[in-house]
Amino acid sequence: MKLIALFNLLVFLIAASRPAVGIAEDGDDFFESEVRPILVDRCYECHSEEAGERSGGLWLDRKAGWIEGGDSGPAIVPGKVDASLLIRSVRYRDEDLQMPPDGRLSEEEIATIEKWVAMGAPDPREAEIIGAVRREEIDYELARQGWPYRPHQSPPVPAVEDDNWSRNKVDAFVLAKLREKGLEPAEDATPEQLIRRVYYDLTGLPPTQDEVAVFAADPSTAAFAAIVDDLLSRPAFGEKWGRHWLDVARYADSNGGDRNFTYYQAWRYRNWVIDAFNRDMPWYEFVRAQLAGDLLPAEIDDQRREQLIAATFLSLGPKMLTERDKEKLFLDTADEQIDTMGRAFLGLTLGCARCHDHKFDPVSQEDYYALAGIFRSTEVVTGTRNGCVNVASWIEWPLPGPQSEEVTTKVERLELAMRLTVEKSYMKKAGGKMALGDLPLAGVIYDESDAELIGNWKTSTYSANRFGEQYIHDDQKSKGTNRAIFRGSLPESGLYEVRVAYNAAGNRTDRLPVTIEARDGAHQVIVDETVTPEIGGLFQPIGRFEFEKGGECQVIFETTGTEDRYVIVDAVQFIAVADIPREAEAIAAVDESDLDPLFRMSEAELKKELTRMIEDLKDEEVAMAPRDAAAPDDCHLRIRGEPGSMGPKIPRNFLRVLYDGPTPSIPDGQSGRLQLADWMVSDSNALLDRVIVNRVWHHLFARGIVASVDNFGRLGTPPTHPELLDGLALSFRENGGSIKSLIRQLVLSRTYQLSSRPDDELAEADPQNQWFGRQNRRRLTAEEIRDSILFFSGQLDPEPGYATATPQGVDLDKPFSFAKERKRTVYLPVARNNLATELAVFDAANPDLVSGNRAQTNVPTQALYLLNSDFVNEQATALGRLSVDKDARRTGEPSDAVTWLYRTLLGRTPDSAEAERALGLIADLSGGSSDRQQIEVACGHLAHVLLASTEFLYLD
Amino acid sequence: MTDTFEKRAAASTWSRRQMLASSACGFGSLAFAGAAHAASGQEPHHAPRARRVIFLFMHGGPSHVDTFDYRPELQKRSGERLPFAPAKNLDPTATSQAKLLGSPWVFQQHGESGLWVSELFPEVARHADDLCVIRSVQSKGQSHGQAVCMLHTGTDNFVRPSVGSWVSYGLGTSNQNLPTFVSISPSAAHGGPRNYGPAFLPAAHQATTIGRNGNLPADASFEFLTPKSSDAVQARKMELLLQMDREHYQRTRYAPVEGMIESMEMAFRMQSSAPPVIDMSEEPESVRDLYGIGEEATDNYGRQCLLARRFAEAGVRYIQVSTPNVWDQHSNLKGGHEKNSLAVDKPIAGLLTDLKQRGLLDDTLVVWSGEFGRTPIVQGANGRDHNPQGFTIWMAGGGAKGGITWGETDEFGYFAVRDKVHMHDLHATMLHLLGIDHERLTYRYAGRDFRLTDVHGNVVHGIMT
Repeated sequence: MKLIALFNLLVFLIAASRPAVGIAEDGDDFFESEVRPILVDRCYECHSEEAGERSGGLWLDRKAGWIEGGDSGPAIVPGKVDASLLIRSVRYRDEDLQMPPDGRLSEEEIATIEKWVAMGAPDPREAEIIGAVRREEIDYELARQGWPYRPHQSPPVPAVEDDNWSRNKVDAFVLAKLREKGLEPAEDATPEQLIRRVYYDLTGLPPTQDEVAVFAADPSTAAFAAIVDDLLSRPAFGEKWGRHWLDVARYADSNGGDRNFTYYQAWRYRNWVIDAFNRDMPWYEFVRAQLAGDLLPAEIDDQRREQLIAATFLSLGPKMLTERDKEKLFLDTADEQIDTMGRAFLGLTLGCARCHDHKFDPVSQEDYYALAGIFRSTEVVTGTRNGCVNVASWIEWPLPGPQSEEVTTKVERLELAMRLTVEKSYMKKAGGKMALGDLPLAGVIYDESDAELIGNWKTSTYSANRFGEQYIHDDQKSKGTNRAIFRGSLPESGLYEVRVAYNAAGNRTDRLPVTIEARDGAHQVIVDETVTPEIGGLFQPIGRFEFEKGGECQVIFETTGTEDRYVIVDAVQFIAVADIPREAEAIAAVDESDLDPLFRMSEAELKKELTRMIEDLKDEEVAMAPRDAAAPDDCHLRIRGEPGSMGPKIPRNFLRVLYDGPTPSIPDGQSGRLQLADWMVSDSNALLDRVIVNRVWHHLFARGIVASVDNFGRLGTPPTHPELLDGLALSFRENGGSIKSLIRQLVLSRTYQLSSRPDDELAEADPQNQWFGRQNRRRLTAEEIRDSILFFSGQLDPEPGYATATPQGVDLDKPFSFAKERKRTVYLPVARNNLATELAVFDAANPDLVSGNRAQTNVPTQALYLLNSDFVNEQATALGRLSVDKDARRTGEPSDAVTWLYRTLLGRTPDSAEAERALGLIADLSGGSSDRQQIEVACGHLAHVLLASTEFLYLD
Repeated sequence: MTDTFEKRAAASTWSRRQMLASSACGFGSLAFAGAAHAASGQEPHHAPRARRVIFLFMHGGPSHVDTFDYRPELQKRSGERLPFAPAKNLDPTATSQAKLLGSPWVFQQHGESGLWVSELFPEVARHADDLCVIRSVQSKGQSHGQAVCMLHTGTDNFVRPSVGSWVSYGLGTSNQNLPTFVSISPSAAHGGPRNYGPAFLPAAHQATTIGRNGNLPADASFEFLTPKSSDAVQARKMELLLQMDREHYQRTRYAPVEGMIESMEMAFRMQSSAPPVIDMSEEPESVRDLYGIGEEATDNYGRQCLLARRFAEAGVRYIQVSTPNVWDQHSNLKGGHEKNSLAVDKPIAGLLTDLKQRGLLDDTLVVWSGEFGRTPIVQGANGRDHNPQGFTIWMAGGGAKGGITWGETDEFGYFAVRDKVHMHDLHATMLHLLGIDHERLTYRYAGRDFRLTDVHGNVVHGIMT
C-alpha cells in the first residue's frame, strides 16, 4: 500500500513538472474517438435523454449535464482528476459510489476517462439542460396555513336546532355534522354496556358484578359522572393510559436490533409514565422532560431524578449496536429519535426526509438535517457492551439520592473500563502492545516489530529506555534507502496525537523525516532525536492528525538527510486527543500508587471486569438517558442519506413549517435539545395539541377524528371534524394540558355513551362510523385479556411492578414466561425480538415502531391460544372451581355456577335458553354426575368456552 | 357424541371452506383484519415460474472463495499482500496485514456445465447442472446483525417486513389449513423474529416457526397445536362456543366477530391437518437416507430439509431452513467449514434429488445463501472476516437456469466487479420468479408506500430459463 502511495506521489511530482498530457492533442478528437464510445456504451443507458433516464439527476449525454451534475453535485471538475466524482465512481474504490453499477470499466477505459478529465474534459456536446429537475421549493408560508400546522383556532360551537340531545360541546359538534349528513345518532348504550365500556376504557379492567348491579339500578348521568371520577382517581387509570403512551414511545425492556441486550433500567421510565398519567402531569411538562430531561434545571433531587428518567424516552429505541461504521450508527440513532419524536408528538413522518425532501409533506431534507444536528449532538450510544469493540453500549446516568456518590463512581469506572477495553482489544488485534514499564499509556501502540522494514536495520537492546524487547537503528548506513513503515488501524475516526518512541542521545539525528499519512493526505514532520521525549522520557508527540477508521493511517520513518547520525526507531503511538487528559492523570497517579487497577488489566481481565460491572449496575439507581455530546455541532446534509456522502452543513433549527423565526441561538457546547424541547411545547405549536387530543379521542372512540393518529401529513386521513379537533386542542391548551379533564369531558359526552349497534339506515350511510353516530366496538387488548382473566379468578396482584428482568434473573433475550406472574401486564417485560406470547398473539404494540393505533388482526393463532394455551386452560379450571366454591358463598348448584360465570366473565345474566345450553354442556361433560369434582371440572369447561367467546373478547 | 358433533361442525363450515378453496384468497384476507386492512392474496403480476421458495440460510456467512467461487489467482498468490485497499470497517487484524489466504480446499469442475465446486460440497456438486451460481452478490452490513436483516428484510437498519411476509402478503396461501410462511429453526439472534416478522404488514403474514436456533427437536411442533382435552370434550365445547359466537354475530353484525369465528374453525381444523405434515415418521427409509437422517452429522439439517419438502408439498409458500449460527470462521476456517459443510451437504443434495424426483423442483425455487461471504485476506492466523462486498449464493429450480454462473468477483474474490447482483436485485429476482413485480408489491404504512426493495432492485433476467 505504501509503495503504491509513494508511486502515486512520484507520478504526481513528475506530472507536475511537465506540461499537462493533453495539450499536444486535439481535445475534441480525443473525446470523440476515445471517450464518447465509453460513455455511450456504459453510461447512456441510465444517464441520457435518448434512454429517457436521468439516474441520480445526472445526464452524461451533454457537457451541461456533467457540469451541473446530479444529486451529488458536479460530476467532473475539469483538470482535477481526484476531485471529480465521476472518476471516484469509475475507480470503484468507494463502497457507496461505484459506477457503472453492473460492473467496473476496464483499466484502460478508466485510464482514458482519467486522461480526459486531466485534459480539462474537452466536450463538444452542446445540448442544453432541458426539463431540468429543479427541486420544487417548499412554500412554507402557504404550508403553514394548512389545517395541521396553523396556529390555534377558536371555532364557534355550532348551534343545532331542536337540540335536546347534546350534553356538552362535543355533542354539539358531532350532532351538527350528523344533521348535515341527514343522519340521527344511535340509541344510548344500555347501562350494562356502558359501565363495562367505561371501566375497560379508563382502567383496562372490567367492573365487578356488584359495580354493574349498582349502576344498573341507578344509571343516572350523575351516577355515571361519579363513576368516571372514581375511575380517574384509581391507580389502574395510569396503568391503562400509561400503556397507550408506552405504545407510542416504542417502550421496551430490551434493545432488539442485532444484539438483544436487556434494558435493565427502562422500567423506571415506564413507571414514570404511569405515574405522570395518574398525577395528571401537564402535557407540556411531560413532553419537555422526555426530550430534554437531562438538561432541565432542577430544584430538588427528586425532580432531577424524574427528569433524568423521563429522558429515557430518547434512549429506548432499537439500535444496531454492532454497526462497525460508528458514524452510521450515530446517524441511525439520531434518525430513530427524530422519526419517533416526529410521529409521537407531531404526527409527522420526519424520517422520510433523511434521503430526500419529503415527497408529500412540507419537510425538506435541510429541515431534517437541521434536526439531525441536534440529535447527532446528543449522545446515546457509547463504549462497548461486551468487550468487543464492534458492540456498542449506551449512556447511563447515576440518579441523585443518598447512594449517588457510590453509583457515580461505578458509572464512571464502567465508562473507563469500556474505553480501556476498546483500546486494548484493538491494540491486541492490530498487533500493538500496551506496556511501558508501569506507564498506563493510552491509544494504540505499534512496536518496531510490527513495522515493515525496508533496507538494513540493526536491532539493539543497548539502551534500557525502550518500548518492548528491543529497538532498531540504521547503524548510520544506507542513508536514504532505509525505511520503516508503521501501518495503523484505529478503533474510530477522529483526531489523534501521533507519538514516536526513541531513546535520546547526542549522536542521534536531529532531522529525522517522518511522514504521516492521514485522512487528508501526507504530512511531513522533522523529529530531533537528540531531545529527550516528553512522555516518560520515551514517547515524543509529533502532531495531531485526523484519521478515518479503516482509512489511510501510516507513519513512515526515512533516513534521507541524516548522514553521520543514528536514526532510532522504537515504536509509534496513536492516542485519541480526548484520551490525553485521562492518560496524563493515570501516569501521574502511578507515582502515588493509587492508580485504578483497571489500567493494569489485560484485555481478557477487562472483559471479565466489564461483565461484572454491568451486572453490578443493573439493580443500582441508574437511569438510561442520553447526554449532550462532547463537541456538539451542526450536521452535514447527507446526499441520499448515505453517511459517507457529505453535503453542506445545515444550521440547527426547529421545523420550518411550524416555526418561522430565526435559527435558534444555541450556546456553545450545547446540542440544542433544550431549545427544541422548549419550542416543542410552546403555545405557538398547536400541532402538539392536535395530535394528543386526537390520540385521546382515538382511545375512547376506537377511531380518531384524524383516523391516521400517527400521521397528520398529506397521506394521512384528513380530520372528519376539523372544528371539533381545533376546539378540543385549544381548550386542552387553555386547561394547561390536562389529560384527565379531556378524558372526563369526552366520556361524559352523549356521543361516548351511544350504543354500538346502529339502525340499518345509519349503518348503511356511515359504514366506517366516521361521523360518530354510534360507538365503535373494539377487541380487548392483549393486556386487557390477560388482566381480566386473572381479575375474574381473583389472582390479579394490584400492586405496581418495578424492575422487569432482574427479579427473575432473566436475560430478556432468553425464553421467559408470564406463567407465574400475577402483576398487571403493563408491569411485565416487553422484550424486543422476544415478545411474550400473551402480548404477541393479541396484537400488542410492536415495540420497534411508534404505534398510536394497534392493529386488530384476526388469526388462527389467537384461536389456538384461547383453546390450547396452558394459561387459559388453567385459569378456566380455577374459575370452574370458584363457580361452585362454597367457601366463596356459592351454592355448588350448576345453575348458580352458570349465572355466576356469565355475570363475572360477560357482565350480564344469561337468558333462559343460554342457561339451559350451558347446563347441557355441564351435564354432558360431567357425565350427568352429581359428583362435586366432576361438576367443578365441567364448570371449568364452561368458563373456558366463555373466555374463548367473542362476547368476552369484544367490547360493545 | 364426537361423531355427531364433528359431522355437524363439518356441515356448517363446508360451504365456507369451498368458497375459500375456490377463491385463491390469502391466509391474511381470510383472517378478517380489522384495522390492518390485509390486502393479501393479490393476483400474480405475471406468469410465475416458481410457486414456492425454500430458502436455505447458512447463518454466519460461509466463505465463497472456499466453496463456489474458484479464484485461481488467490490460490497462486496466497501469502502475498492484497494489491489494493481492503474494505473499510474490517477487523484490524485483517486490514493491517491484508494478506491473501488461498483456499485450503481443492476445487474441481462438475457436471456437463463444468461448474467449479470445492471439495467441501461433494454431494451438492453432483447437482452442478441444476445450480445457478451467482458470484457477484453484494449486500450491506459488515456485521451479522445488519447483514442478516438485509438478507431477510431488505434493510440493514430499519424495521421492515421479511421476504417471506411479503410473499405471503403478495400471493396468499394455497392451503388454508396451513400457514403461508414457515420458518424452520430460525435464529433468535441477529434480529431474531424481525427476520421472519411482518413489521407493519398484517400479523397473519408472520412466519409460523418450528424449532429454534438451527435446531429441530424430534418432537417439534407449532405452538398451541395440541389440545388439552380429548377430541370429544373439545368438540362438545366447540359446539357451544360456535353457537354463542354466531348469536353474538347475529346481535352485533360486527365483521371481526365473524372473522374470529372463521379463525376458530380454522384453528380447530389445523389441530388435525398440521400434525400429519409435521410428522415425518412415515417417510420410507430410502427417503430418510437420502437426507442423511439417522447419521450423526447430518441428522438435524436432514430432518429440517425433509420437513421443508413436506411443507412445500402441502402448499406452504415460503419455507426457510436455517443452520445454527456456525459459519462465522474468524479463526479455524479449516475445521469450522469442514464441519459445517458436512452437516448440510448431504441434506441439501437430498432435498434437490427428492424435489426433482417428485417433479417439485420445476416450480420450487431453492435458494442457498449466507448473510455475506468471507474475505480472501486472512484474519488472525487462520480465519476470514465478513465480506458483503462480493460473495456467492446459488439457486436451483423454480425458473433459475441450471449449470450457469452469473457475475464475477475480482481475481481474489474480494469485490464483485461484473454483473453485480445487489441484495435488492436478488429480492427483486426472487419475487419476479414468483410472478410478482417488486415495484408493484407495495403496502402503505405511515404515509408511504413501502416495498421490499425500497427504491432499488433490478430483476436479473439473465439467470432465468
